[in-house]
This record gives sequence, structure tokens and C-alpha cells, in this order.
Amino acid sequence: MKRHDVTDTYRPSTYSRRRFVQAAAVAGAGAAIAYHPLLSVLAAAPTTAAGCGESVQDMLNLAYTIERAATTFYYTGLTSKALLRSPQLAGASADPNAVARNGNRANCANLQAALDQEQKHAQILANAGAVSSIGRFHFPAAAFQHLGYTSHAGTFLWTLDHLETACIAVYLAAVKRFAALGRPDLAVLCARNLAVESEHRALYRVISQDDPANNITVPVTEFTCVSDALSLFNPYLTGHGFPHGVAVTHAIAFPTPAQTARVIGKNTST
Amino acid sequence: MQTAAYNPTHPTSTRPLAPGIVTARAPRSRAAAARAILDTALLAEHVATAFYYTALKTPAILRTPQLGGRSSDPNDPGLPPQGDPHHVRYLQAALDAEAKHMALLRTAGARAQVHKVYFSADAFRRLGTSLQPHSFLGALDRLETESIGLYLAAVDQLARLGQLDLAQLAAQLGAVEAEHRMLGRVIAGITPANNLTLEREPFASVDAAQAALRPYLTGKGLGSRVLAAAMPTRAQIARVVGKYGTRRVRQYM
Repeated sequence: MKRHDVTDTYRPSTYSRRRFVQAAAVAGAGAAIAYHPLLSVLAAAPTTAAGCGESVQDMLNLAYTIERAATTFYYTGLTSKALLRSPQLAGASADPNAVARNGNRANCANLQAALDQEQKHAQILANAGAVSSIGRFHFPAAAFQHLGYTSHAGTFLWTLDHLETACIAVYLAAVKRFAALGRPDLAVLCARNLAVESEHRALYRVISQDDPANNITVPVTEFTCVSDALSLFNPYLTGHGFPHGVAVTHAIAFPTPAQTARVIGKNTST
Repeated sequence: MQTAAYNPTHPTSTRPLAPGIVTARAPRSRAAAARAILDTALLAEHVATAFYYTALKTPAILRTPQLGGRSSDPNDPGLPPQGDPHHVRYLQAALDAEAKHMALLRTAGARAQVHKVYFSADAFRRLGTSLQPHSFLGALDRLETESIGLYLAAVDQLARLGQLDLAQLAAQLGAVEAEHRMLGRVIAGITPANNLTLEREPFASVDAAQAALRPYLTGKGLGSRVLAAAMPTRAQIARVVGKYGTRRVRQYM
């Protein structure tokens, strides 16, 4: 087992992760106007002592925005030669649809399917009534330069771990809130989505060679309310609030279906 | 098993449940209805625990290049290309997770108890693939698909009962079962391993899921060759899991 494997503690990455989140939280708390307009609406949702204050529409919109951010992240990763040349991905070809002999076809196929799934999740949420004005996203620049490991801060796999874990936690909070709002159908939709996100989590841990890939007894319920996730996602939507010194990408546009189809190839999901 | 076709672009299209399905049976309190759901989930976790434990103790399964290679000891698997330690650890962690799920459900109020579980003997004769029903990986795929379906039905019914924490717990447990199903496909070498846009909903209710569990609990309906497996003790499970268990993480970020 490599030294970066994390089987007994999250300490190595938790420290970096906590600093990352604290920076985001400070940015959000310090100035409400730092929130993206979509998030400002959610941030203003009244939270009572009895529970959370998000509406059905608020949660659909946030989940939709997160799925679009995840789609953009996977797409950018799967079109970044620096990542693709890794032996854990496409190897010398740097093409996920023509993996070189020194690459890993299974890892590429699984990431291609993950991209397909995130895009379809976004579409499903849109069909359920979600809307979002956010079409461009920001990420740590290093994420598209180094595949790295889930325990190496700032790398692709680390950032993916950050995004997917947060996404799972948002859906878990949404299951409860949708149930409270009398929408069991949407609670079930969230459960179906979050199970697929959990598969993604195990798969990027496979790429990272973390043992075991399925290392948690149950997914983490990080957020009590869906709106608790706002400070975490705000940097990805605005480009502001990443820790000091972290180089950030330019705004990256949500890919079109034609663009993602070319990258996904035949590794679609049903 | 009821199979419901679904259209991923219509998230509610596969939910045939009418409001109040839980009360369609004989009237019972919300607490009793929730407890019945938890009991069914606990039965499923018993089955899954016995399933993974039996596999990790069966040389015909372990002594394959995809798992332990020449070794039938899950804590000392062969190295590639004779074996694949990562794959063995997926199964060890799955066993650990299922056993811990039982504990979580008991803490939540479930009381069901099973001493013996039954499987088709074919499930432990060869590793096979997720696409071969009469093999270990085929049985794993079916068992985990049924578990996921059970938990999705449970989310729906618990939400209707106003049991918010339990609905969330069901979603958590179902997500881990989805990981197990997908990792079975990784062991089988099937790509993409994550082949579903949304998890399937094979059951319209938890009662339907319970009916699908019945063969595992009675030995009836499993064909002519049935294997009876005693529920492993905590000590037995701990020995097989070794150091590749799972952890409860309360705060990640």
C-alpha cells in the first residue's frame, strides 16, 4: 500500500480540506454580495429553529447548478492532455477513446460514464423544473495539470473528491428536506442520484489506488440544511473565495451535448 | 422481482406508488410501519453479510486471478497478475459495511434476527461475472440491486411517514450498496463499471422487496442445490475483514 493511502484517518487531506472550506466560508460570510445571485436567494431562505428554510425550487436549482459544475469538471478533465497522458488514464495517446497500451481503459471508461451521468442528472433536474443562470465555472488550475491522488491537495483527484463528497452531502440533506416538504418523489430522486455519486467516489478512489475504495460505512451527512453547502460551492461559481495563493482557472463554460458526446464516446450509461 | 421500466428524463415516471401506500395494508401506527421497514432492511443486511462472509471463506471464489490468486486467505492475497489485492479489499470492506449497517439499523429500532441464510450453491462455485446469474458476481449484482431497490422504496415510504432521519439513513445505506454493485462490475472487468444514470427501482414497495428476500431466508425457490450459511459472529467477521474495514466519518470537510 502506498503512503498516500488513507485507511485509518482523513488527517492528511482533512487539514487542507478544512483550510479550503474555511477560506470559502470566510469569503461568503464576509460579504453577502460575494455570493452568486442564485445562491443569494438560497442564502436568504429563512432557517428556523425547527428546521431548514429552503423551498423545493431552491433545492432543485442548487442541485442542478452543482450537477452542471460537476459536468464541466469531468469534461475539462477528460479534455486536459496533462491529465490524460497519465498511465492511470489514456497514457501516451491522451485520448480517452483511443487509450494507449500504457494507459488504463477501465479508468477512462468509468470517468467517461461519470461525465455522461452528471450531464444526464442535470437534464433530469431541468425536466423536474430546475433552472440556473450559471453557465460558467471556476476550479483550481492545478486540478487540470496533475491527476494526483485524493490525498494530494489541489490535484484533479483531490478536487474531484471535494466536489463529489459535497454533492453527496447536498443530496443527503435534500432527501430530508424534500421529505419534510411532502415531496417523497424528489427525495427518492435525490437518493438515486446520490447513490450514483457514491459510485463515482469509489471509482476515483480506485484510480487513486486508495484501499479500500469503498472505505466508508455510510456517506457523510456534512450538511444539516441544503443551504449549508452554499459557502462551499460559491468559489466554483464565482471564482472568489478559494484559499489565498490557489491559482484559479478562467471561467469554463458548461459543455454542449455535442462536445460531451465526443468525449464520452461509447461509454454511456443507461 | 418486479422490474419497472424507467425513463431517466422523467424522474417521477417510475414511481407507481399511490400516496399512502403504507396505510393500504391493515392500519398500523407510523412508528410500527417504520419499524417494519427497518426490520426488512435488517433482514437484507443479514443476507448480504452472510453472502460476503461465505465468499471470503470459499477457496473456489478466492483462488482466482481477480481475487486472491493462489491464496485463499483474504488477508494475504496474491499479487498481480496471480491475484488482485485491491479487489479482495473491496469485498472485505463490503462485508464490514454490511455488518455495520446491521448495527445501525438495530440502533434505529430494527429487531429482526436471522441465524441461517440460504443461497444457490452455484453462487459459490465460481467467480463468474456480473452478467452471469449463476456465479458469485452475478449473484452479487442481483443481491445488491435488490438491496438498492429496497432502500429506495424505504426512502419513499419513510418520507411519506414523516420519518425524516430514517429516510435519510435509508438513502445512505442504499448509496453504499450501489458502490458494492458497481465494484462487483470492476472485479468482473466490465466497463463502464458505473453503467447506470440513476439507480434502478425494482420494487414498488418495501413489502415487494421483502418478498424477493424470502428465498434467502427460507431456502425455497433457489433451485435444487442450496447452501445454508450460518450468520457469522462479530469475531469471525473481524478476522476476515482484517484491516480493510470501513469507517463512520461524521465530518469530512
